[in-house]
Amino acid sequence: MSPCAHQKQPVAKLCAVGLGLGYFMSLGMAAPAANKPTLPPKVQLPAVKPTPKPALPYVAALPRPVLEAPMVKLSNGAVLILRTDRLAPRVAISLVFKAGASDEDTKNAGWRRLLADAMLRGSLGSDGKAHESRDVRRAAEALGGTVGATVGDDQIEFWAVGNSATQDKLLDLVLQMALHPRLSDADIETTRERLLARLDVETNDVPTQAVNALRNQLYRNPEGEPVAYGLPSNGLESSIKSLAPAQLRRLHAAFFRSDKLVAAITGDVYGPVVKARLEDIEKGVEVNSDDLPLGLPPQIAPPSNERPPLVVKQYPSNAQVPIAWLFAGYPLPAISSDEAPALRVLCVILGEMPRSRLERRLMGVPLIPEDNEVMVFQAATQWTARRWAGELVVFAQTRSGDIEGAKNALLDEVAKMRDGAPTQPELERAKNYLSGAWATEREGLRERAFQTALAPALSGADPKFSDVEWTARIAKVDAEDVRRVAGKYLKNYAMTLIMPED
Amino acid sequence: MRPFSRVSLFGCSLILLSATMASSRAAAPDMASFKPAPLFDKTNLKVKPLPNGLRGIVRTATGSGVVCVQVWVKAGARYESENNSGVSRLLAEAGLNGSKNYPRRAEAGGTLRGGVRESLETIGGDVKTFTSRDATFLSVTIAAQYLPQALRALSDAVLRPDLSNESVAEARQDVAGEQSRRENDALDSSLDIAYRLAFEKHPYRKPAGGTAHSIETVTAALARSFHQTHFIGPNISVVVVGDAQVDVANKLITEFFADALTAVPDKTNISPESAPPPFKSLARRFASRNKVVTLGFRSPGIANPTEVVATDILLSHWKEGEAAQLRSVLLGASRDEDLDEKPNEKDNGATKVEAPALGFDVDYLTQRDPGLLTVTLVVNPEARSGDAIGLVMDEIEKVQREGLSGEALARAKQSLTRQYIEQSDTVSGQAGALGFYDMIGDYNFAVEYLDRIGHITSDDVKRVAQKYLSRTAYVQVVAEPLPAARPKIPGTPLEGGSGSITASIPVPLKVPLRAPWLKP
Repeated sequence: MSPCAHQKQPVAKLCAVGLGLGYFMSLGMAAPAANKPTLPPKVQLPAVKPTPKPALPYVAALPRPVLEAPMVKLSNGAVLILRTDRLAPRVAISLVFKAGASDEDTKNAGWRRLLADAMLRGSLGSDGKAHESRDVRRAAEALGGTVGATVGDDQIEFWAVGNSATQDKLLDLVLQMALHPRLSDADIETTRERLLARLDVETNDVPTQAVNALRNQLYRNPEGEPVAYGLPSNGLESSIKSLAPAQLRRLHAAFFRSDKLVAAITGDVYGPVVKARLEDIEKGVEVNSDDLPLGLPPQIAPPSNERPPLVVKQYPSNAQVPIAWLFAGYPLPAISSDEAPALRVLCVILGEMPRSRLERRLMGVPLIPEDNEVMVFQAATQWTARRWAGELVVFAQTRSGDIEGAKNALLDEVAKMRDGAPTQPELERAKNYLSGAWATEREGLRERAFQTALAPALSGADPKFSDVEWTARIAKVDAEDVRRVAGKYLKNYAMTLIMPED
Repeated sequence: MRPFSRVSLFGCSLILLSATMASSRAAAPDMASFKPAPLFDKTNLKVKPLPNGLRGIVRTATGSGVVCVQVWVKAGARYESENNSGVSRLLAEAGLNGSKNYPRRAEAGGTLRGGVRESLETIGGDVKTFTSRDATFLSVTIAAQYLPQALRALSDAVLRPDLSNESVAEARQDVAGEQSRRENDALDSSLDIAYRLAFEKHPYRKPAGGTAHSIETVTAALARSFHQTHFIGPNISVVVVGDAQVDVANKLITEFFADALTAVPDKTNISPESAPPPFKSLARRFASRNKVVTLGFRSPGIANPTEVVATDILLSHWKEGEAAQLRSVLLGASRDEDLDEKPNEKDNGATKVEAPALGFDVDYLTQRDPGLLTVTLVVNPEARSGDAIGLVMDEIEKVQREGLSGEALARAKQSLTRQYIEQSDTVSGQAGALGFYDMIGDYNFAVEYLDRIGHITSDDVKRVAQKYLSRTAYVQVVAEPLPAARPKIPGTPLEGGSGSITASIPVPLKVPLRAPWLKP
């Protein structure tokens, strides 16, 4: 079959005639006359162009489906959100406890990581018997799933995924892990050793160092000391070594309480049972101790633009082109701010969506006109939202010799965001990208459960902060909102560079 | 006590614990009245054939806010020749790069923009493509409101790809690079070599995505020709799963795929190679830290569904879950690690016992024709790989002799059920299962899979082990690490630099031509 065969038949014939005549005419010859009537000489054939196939019709997007995520505050203070779908007989459970970096200081930095890891080593059943981590894993397997824990900037999360038919037992299992850990001295010492070993590795890890350095500059109190998100997430060697087992047990009792819990269950959920199970959690008793955090919001002073960039040196490499990274971090307000959606859109326009401003400005074209080589290999933004404060990081990867040019271009694009509102098509593209990416990121039950629990944990148990309301809030952002928040927040920044050793 | 018994006891204690808690809560609701969602709910699964032979398969479930669209085409190594090996993979790449209604264009500085992939990513879509030996798919997972955009874009990529010389050259570069990396990876390359050894004539002997060399020889004309004959209605299934209405999805499928060609698909007879090959072995050196030994046994095709599921259960018995049989045999029975630890990392001052293997995998992909069941062993280069191979052969022999015990069969079924449900708990997972089985047989196989697991007996497992896992007829690929003082390889990028490519040198090793554990 010929390559043109999928074209509609009349088009194919026209192509064949056109090609045939064109070929002979190009040689200055008449078309062969054999057995065919010749064309009258005065007839001028129009230039034959392939008839374009009709373009596919454009179609409008469908209405956005209404997503239900009822939120209820239980009598013991816990918040429960259910997001139901019946795609598969599976559920994901996310138990988010509000224990954040703002509950750490330089003396006890890393206690949340140490505690969570130690909790995974074993838990106590209601009969008082200890179950090893392996037994817990196997119990989860028997319920068709897996369990685990994560530590974030504002929370410690215990999670489980498994079959919906046994979701009551799965919830019991993950509650047992979170509320009744064994926390023996041996558990804590083993975990401490491993965490200290991990810190050793981190000191040699350039990206971790760069992130820590940037956060360390952004989150300092008025006295200039790092606080909350400015502390290294896995703690300091001195703080990890100083955390006593008894202190960790008190921290567990203080933070793993029902009134610090936001639970989200997604998938094939049976609401009455999970609600009853969570209502059964005892509120716990208030723990008062001098070595416990006060639970106050951190006092954070904005960074000074006068401070020189902090430089992290990379180990020598054999790379033929010396590469450098540049990170500029701008402090943002808490995620509960009414300005958060506009800031999110700003971030997307500047450097997150395909064909963002940074991509168009910096990638694929030389910054210096006479230099034909591509100067910037990667340029993008990253938005981090948190309970008390967030940041917008603008970054670029470039040749080390071009770092100054890249920095100026990045700062220039940031200035343009401050100086003018985005165009309407640009704004719409950003909002469409955000609403699409929001859904795609939540395709998996586990991620959906986590995001559903995290949103009210960071912003408060107000339905307007529900995760499913986020895209509606994005939809309301206009161009002037974006310009206004850019002018307000893209002023003070901290900068970190990763440079080659030489 | 065997590991499984511990699981059972602990499972019982959990149930008892739950019962105690329930009794203390007067009239607390229980799960008795709960009916779990069926995995592939037939009432929400509709199949609509179009006049051109294309099949639309729509599975709806509300609540997730997301849909997955996958366009599957019967195009892969099975339908390719040595002359155009890899063309299916190349066509998928070219289609996503640019098509008639989503053209690729050069911007200032020469950067290429546009195309189907970029169009879908601009609205937050997660775009993927994959080619197996039986089929190629293009997939996007996307917010439910963008279903029309997804179907429009993927229909253009599949039916109207830009197959100009320039576009094919661009795709060729991408795909050849990908294949080249695969050929230099000890694990991936060993699997491809195992297939090459295991099949005399059947097209499964070619790698699913072609070789770096074969891709380089696929011209635009060859690509257009293959597209004309294979990317046609009767060879295509369009699968939509997620937060969508059936009638809306079907209307859109009809609208965008109606002009797929109605040509009769190529009926070239491809005879399955059911007979397992006599023992063959090949060794190669790779730039890897450890030795990799891959054993390949003939395995059932989809025409024998009971054998397929019995083989899946055998796999599950050997490798899935904490109590997997080969895990304890090959990696050591006693482990007490944290949730995030990897096998064989334990060394807390206790006496470290060298396990026979550092890692292992057992893989079996159900294919249209009989394929390969592979056992991959990663062993210390200083250790004797024969020990690990011998242990695997002993396990095979045990199943051939005894089948699986009641406990082992129940555990394997439970693990397989869990794994299958887990793979299908997303819209892309379900679309993948429906499309995959529709390409090699019928989408109903996905729907009925859990029921089929329930019907498999120990004798079924024993039979497949006896029929396929021969000790005398299989292939073996040994991937040895390069010697410590690595020779300079011409054309190899700087060692250790970012993005460096490791090189493979086909150096035959002195390996016995018959398996050492064969009884005389």
